[in-house]
Amino acid sequence: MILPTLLIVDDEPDIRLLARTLLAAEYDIVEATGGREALEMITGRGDVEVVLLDIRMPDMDGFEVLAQLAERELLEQLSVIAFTAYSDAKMVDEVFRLGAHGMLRKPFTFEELTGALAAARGGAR
Amino acid sequence: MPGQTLEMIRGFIETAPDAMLVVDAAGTIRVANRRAMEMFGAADLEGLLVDALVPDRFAQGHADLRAAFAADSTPRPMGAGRELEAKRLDGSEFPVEVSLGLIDATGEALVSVAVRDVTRRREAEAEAAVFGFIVAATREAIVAVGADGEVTAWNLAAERLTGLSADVAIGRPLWECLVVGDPVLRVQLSAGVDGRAAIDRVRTTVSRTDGTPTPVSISLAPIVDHKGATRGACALIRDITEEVEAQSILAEVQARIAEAQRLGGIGLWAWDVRTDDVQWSEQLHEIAGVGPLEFSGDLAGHLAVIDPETREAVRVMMRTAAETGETFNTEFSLHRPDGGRRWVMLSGEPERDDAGDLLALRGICQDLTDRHAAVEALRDADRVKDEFLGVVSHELRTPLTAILGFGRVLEGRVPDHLEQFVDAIVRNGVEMQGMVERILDYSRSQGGGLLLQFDDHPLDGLLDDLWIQVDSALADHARHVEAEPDLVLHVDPEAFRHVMVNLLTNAAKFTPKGGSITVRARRGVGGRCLISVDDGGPGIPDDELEAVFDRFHQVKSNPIASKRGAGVGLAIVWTYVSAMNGRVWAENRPGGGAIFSVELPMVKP
Repeated sequence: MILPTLLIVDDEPDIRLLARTLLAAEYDIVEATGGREALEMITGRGDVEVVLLDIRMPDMDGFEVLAQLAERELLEQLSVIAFTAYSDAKMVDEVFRLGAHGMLRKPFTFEELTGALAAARGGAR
Repeated sequence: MPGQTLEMIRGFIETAPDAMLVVDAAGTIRVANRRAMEMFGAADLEGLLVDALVPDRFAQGHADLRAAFAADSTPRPMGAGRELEAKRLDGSEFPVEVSLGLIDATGEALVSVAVRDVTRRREAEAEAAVFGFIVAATREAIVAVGADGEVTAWNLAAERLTGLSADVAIGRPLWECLVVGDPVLRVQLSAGVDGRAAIDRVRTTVSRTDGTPTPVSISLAPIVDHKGATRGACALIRDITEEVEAQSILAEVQARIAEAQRLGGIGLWAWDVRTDDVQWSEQLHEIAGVGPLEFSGDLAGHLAVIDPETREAVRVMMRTAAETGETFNTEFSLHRPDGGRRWVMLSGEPERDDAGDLLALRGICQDLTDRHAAVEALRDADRVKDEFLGVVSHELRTPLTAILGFGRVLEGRVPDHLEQFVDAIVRNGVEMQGMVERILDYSRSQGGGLLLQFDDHPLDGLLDDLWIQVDSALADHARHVEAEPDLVLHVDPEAFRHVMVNLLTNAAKFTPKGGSITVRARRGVGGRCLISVDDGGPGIPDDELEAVFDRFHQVKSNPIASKRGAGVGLAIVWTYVSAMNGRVWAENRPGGGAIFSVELPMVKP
């Protein structure tokens, strides 16, 4: 069975490992450690369907990744779920304004993660 | 007696400068010169009895004395040792000096009488006597020196000032008697004595004979005779000991006031409402950075240094005070011409005349820049601390994600003997997550600009939403709700949720497992609702009932040591309840347990 490809973008290796651990049964997991690498992988591979995107990252942050994806008209083919430790209303608004399909707050439970994925993928299609 | 002789005598006495009469032995005036007729106011005196020219009260005595003179007619002044008076024909009297002489050339005993009117001289003598008395009695030392520089007059005050008596001083050189403290000044004074300069109230000291100096003010004027020649000088020396002492006390007081104003950064101002004159003290010029020469000295100038955005308000405040006569007090920022800023407090009060009319506003302007800066710095520090708390709490969420995430991954997947360790990891992680969330709640509540959305919300619905939130926190406790029906609150639902979640989790923290937690709600007074949370805990020490609402406060004698907290839950409660126009307080229930009560509006205020 071919699993959909999910890209985890986070500069924290433990968070990448956690997401991989929780989702390995349902997705083919690939990882990027920052925004630039994430953009390269999405455009280079062409098979990424779902993106778990950390907002706060050192080299290129999640906002910029969302903006670049929108510019390259790639957002429509993807389900992007932003996740962040920050949770103020301004940040949430900005994330959705830039075109993210879902939002997940750290720390998240397995149920919250799968719930957000289901909602975003359902909504994206 | 031959008329020829009398004519000769008449011709002779007509040339005399005095009034002259020639009287015979019977007392009859035989000859009188023109001056005599003028003096006595008569067209002709000849043939009159001389006694008629003597006041009536002396007339008899005069006749007797006249007889005595006839017996011993040596020429002499009349009435030695007495003041003589004569009488004009109109009866008026005047002081005279009279000299008598014998004329024996005629063969008949005739007496020549020279009469001098001394009215002027008597007046001058009386004036001089008064003047002398004044000189003697005055408190100012008055001394006179002759052209040779020797003392010619030395009054009582001069004796008192120097300790030298007039007997000793008179005849001696002035500068031996008057020892002036400042030698340079003595040179100037000497010029005054020599008539080369007038000295007006110069200050120096004069030493007494025992050497003690007395502060004095000396004035000197030359004495000039009618020909314009300098005959010496007169000096007036005033003892100014009391004045100097008073001035020194005044100077001391002024220095103290100035020092207090400087140390306190207090400037004084006064605005004359009738003339629009504004006066500033030196310190106020200093505070405002506007020197006395640059200051326009009117209300416009007074207000010009105030920041434009507050200037108008201060103008209105001062005008209002001028109209109503009420005191005012305000704080604002000054914009100095040099670009510096000062935070000041300006206060003023009216000054009225006896009729109660307003004359002026006067008051102080205190520089509070340092204090203001300190308060601002404290506020900044507080804000930075809250921001720091927020950032740290956010940053804790990422590692918590890993701890809780992997902990839960491990749950049920590890050998039994390790299961309790995994439980501990997850349990502590959850507890820490709760603390982080509450600190973030607090941080948000302190961020200022809480944007609350007030609306009417039925209490039942609010509580239903609440139970979902606190279900796990209250899992180990018996929960009771006693609420009056149909209570509707005018609140922000999110803020209300924060309040109740914090109160309930706080209650759960202090209530032992199996204990009960009761929520009560009823109508209070004034359209307000009273909601209380009773716990089954140990209660709160009386002296901490208010402090529990302080940030980071932890009740000292918390017996349930395993239950930790950030100490912000009740501070959040306080902030949100206040923001919703309510109030919150804590009390102890007799017999144990704490009661937290929240009073919130039920209708739009």
